Amino acid sequence: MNLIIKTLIKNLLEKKARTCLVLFSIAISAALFFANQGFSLTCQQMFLDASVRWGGNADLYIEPLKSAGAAEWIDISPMETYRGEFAYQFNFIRQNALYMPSVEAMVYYTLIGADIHDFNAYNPITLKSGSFDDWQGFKLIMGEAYAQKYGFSTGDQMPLELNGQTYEFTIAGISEQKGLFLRELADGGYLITPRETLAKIYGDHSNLVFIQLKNPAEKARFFNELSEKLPGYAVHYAVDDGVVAAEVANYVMPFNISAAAVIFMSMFIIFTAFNLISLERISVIGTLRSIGCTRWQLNLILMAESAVLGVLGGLLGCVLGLGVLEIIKNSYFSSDQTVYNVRILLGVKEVLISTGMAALITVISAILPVLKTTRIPIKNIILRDLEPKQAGASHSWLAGLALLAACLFITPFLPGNFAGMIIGCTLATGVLAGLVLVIPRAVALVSGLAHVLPFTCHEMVLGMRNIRDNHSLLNNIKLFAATIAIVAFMTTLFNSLTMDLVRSYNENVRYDISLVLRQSDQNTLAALARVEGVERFVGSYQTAAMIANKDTWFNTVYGIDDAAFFQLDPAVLPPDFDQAMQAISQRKAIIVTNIMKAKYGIQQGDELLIRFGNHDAAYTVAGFVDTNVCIGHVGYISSKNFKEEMGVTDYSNIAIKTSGDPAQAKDNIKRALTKEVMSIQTRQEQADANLDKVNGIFSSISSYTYIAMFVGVIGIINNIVAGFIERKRNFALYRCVGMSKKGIQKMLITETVLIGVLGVTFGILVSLVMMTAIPVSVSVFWGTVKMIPASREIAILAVVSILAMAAVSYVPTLESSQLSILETIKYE
Amino acid sequence: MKQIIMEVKGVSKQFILGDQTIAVLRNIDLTVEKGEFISIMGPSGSGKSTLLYLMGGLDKVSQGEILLNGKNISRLKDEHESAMRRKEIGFVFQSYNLIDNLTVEENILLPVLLDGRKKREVMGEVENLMKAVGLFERRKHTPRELSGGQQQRTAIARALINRPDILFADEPIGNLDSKTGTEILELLKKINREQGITILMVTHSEESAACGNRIIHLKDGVISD
Repeated sequence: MNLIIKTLIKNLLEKKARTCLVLFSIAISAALFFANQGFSLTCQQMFLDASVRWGGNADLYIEPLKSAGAAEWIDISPMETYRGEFAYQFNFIRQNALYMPSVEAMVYYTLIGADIHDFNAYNPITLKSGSFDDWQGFKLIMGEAYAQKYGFSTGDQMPLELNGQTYEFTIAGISEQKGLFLRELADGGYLITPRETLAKIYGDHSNLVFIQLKNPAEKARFFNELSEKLPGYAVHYAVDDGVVAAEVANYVMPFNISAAAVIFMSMFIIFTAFNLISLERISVIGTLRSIGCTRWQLNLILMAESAVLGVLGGLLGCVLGLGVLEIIKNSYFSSDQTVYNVRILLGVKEVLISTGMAALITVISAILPVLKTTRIPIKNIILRDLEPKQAGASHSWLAGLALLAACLFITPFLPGNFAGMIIGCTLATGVLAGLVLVIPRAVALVSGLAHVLPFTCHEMVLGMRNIRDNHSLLNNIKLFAATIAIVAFMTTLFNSLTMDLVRSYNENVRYDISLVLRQSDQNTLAALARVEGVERFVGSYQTAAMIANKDTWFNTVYGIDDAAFFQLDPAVLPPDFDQAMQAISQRKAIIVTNIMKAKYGIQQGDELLIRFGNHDAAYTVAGFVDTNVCIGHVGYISSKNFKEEMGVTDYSNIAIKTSGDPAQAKDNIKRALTKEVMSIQTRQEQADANLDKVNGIFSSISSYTYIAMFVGVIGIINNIVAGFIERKRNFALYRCVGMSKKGIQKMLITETVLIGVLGVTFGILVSLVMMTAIPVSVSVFWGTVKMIPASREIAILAVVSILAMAAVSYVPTLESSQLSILETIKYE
Repeated sequence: MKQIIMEVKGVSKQFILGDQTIAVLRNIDLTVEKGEFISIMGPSGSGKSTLLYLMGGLDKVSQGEILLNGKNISRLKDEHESAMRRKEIGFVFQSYNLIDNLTVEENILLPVLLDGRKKREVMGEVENLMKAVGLFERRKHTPRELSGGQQQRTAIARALINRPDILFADEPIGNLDSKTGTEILELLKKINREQGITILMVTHSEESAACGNRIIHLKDGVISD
């Protein structure tokens, strides 16, 4: 047995190029799988960091309610009874501080007054410059992002307006983009100052308490008890694991879908590579069989060999995966200026999983070629009679047509729910299988036209015939077509979603400015109405909320005054909408989106248990709308109910319609309301920010498909070279009957270019069929989307692919020019 | 006096295997007259197949020259060499060497089409040839669907389609049973006799050699009598 193993391994090592190709294909699959895991972990850590940014290592935090008449300061005496169960309880002062170097550049910071040792225990600060020494007086720690934005350094003075008065603070230190100072530019700036400083201005009270429990497993109990014991305040979890998990799932899902497509392609490539390896080793296998090696022994050894190749490829893939992950990370976050310190997270577990997957994929891909080879009778191997005798014409192309037709005719009628999405994706995948079955028949039809084409010479006709009859060449067309189909499909998917987002902002969003005010009392709103350029505005209240009885979340619950909200904010309203609006204004009722209806089977009249802060409230579903911009999980209740549930008084956001240039109106608002403006953005600025984010996601997912395409092309080049080797004898025969070297080259170029042309043509045609599944596949998480083919990108892909194949033809033509007729005929 | 169709002058051939130079043919001189049916015989390793391939233009001499119809074929460029293989010589191999994915008819047509002639111009000749070799009913079949003898007959028809001056046959019946082999040899004799095509055949069988009208013995790379 050892000798047999040694013989086979030696034989494998002799075929270095082929073995390297298989290893490389496995490695790329493993790299993509590895990168997928790493990215998922990275996303998870990113969202965790975002949650931990505020929560630090605390378990709970307490703040005053935001309702009129609510206590401004927290009475911490009721918490004394729990002292023994707290690892720490830190009492901070939190206020807004205005930095206004100019009207246009003004910004509100959240200023936290804290003992620096306490703060570092709760949420450690990593200083880039400065120190915590002598932490007293008008000192500040600020974040790197804003320091860079305003050109601040340690020791500089920063005037801040607090409580109606301006104070000069000295910057004692600048923190790295970590902890509280992560994502400042996106989520708001923070400053830290000595607690005593704020206490002198506002009084020695606390309005922000962070608690860490000795036993974190008791978090839920303390949350409930403190919520009950402190009804005048809001008790929160410092880090909500449910929110993190939900956000990660949204971000990672597209990558999982892409990874599945790539794994499919890799299996195909590994399968064809193993086919070739098996073919080349047929004589060795025949000899071993002829001297007594059983089929079972050979199968076992060859499968074990494939597993070893899988493990080696997997380990190599993990190394490559680091590079792939870097590419994906950079594309994903390239447009997000607010993200720093995105760490790639990987460990032994990910290496083991990726390597295991690579071995499994390799073994599965190798099963058929190995079994096919070992099943060939020894006599046939020795007599080199390897072609199977065909009983008659194959009709498998009919099954292929059926798969194509199924996707084309069934997907438009699928429901827009999870089941519909899964069926749609399955049918789209089935199209690829159908493609593989249909190609031989389609190629036969095309090559039948060869004789009638006016511009063809006989060498070209022979080239077209060879493509019809040669399995290697047909496999190339299948591989190429599948690659093109997947890339065209993914590109169109992203293009459709991107165009839909652009369309949503251009057509559906009717406001021009989005404004957040410090307080939206009647005077402020009256002042806003008087600003030049402001035509009208609508305020709304917003929060995220869990649906306790559906185990999911609302991204946003809106509290709206009336239907005027929908004149400026996007939603497609059904005919019976007036009734739904009446319902939500009269009782505890809610309007939700059609996406949620499809996803969770929510019907009109159903009761949703919505978690507002620390209590649950039951709301009846009154109707449904379509909205794309918030990606689906949205609900609308009356502003009256919202204020009661959340204890708030001020609008979360004001949507403004302008009568002229929105940018000018924005400046007018800032000048008129100055310190009341917390944040303000035009619609275009919002659209650009969203588009950048979406493009970042899509460009990183596209990296997957282009890497897979690269692997596919490598596979095709290998197949072409291997096909040439397989057919050397035939080429020598052509030379024997008088075909010149140029004639052979013409034939080979015809074959290769035709592989490109047919692969591109079939791939694009099939991708059009697959694209019919796009609307139903994305409706569950994106809403109604019109499929918009990425015509420009597909055209470029087609041209580049055909040119690439023309370039690839250089390889076999070079080999053919060095062909020795005699040696090939006598010794092959 | 019969026309000399081929001359071999002082031809030697060496192969390099590793660090050794193996002399396969040494200073061969030979003339072939039109219409001859020459059998080249010799033990294994005597260089008979090598001589055949050199004369058929499939290999290059190490020393000497080979003239076909007065042209030195050792110095031809690829285009002219290929044209020579299409028009002036035909080759029949021991293992038939047909193109697997072409039918009988197409295999026979191949040299003609490669020569730039139109299919409709030569179909009459092709049909006659197929009838002559007894394959007209099998003309749409591929080599996989033919017996050994049928494949060899197809190869012979292919070699003859362009009416070559000389036909080279390398152990044409080596893979056939005796009955079929005899049929092939009879076919070759008929071609030689009726069409006057010169045939050079390599064989190690005395019986096959007797079909020809001259036997050349090769031993250790030289012609022996």
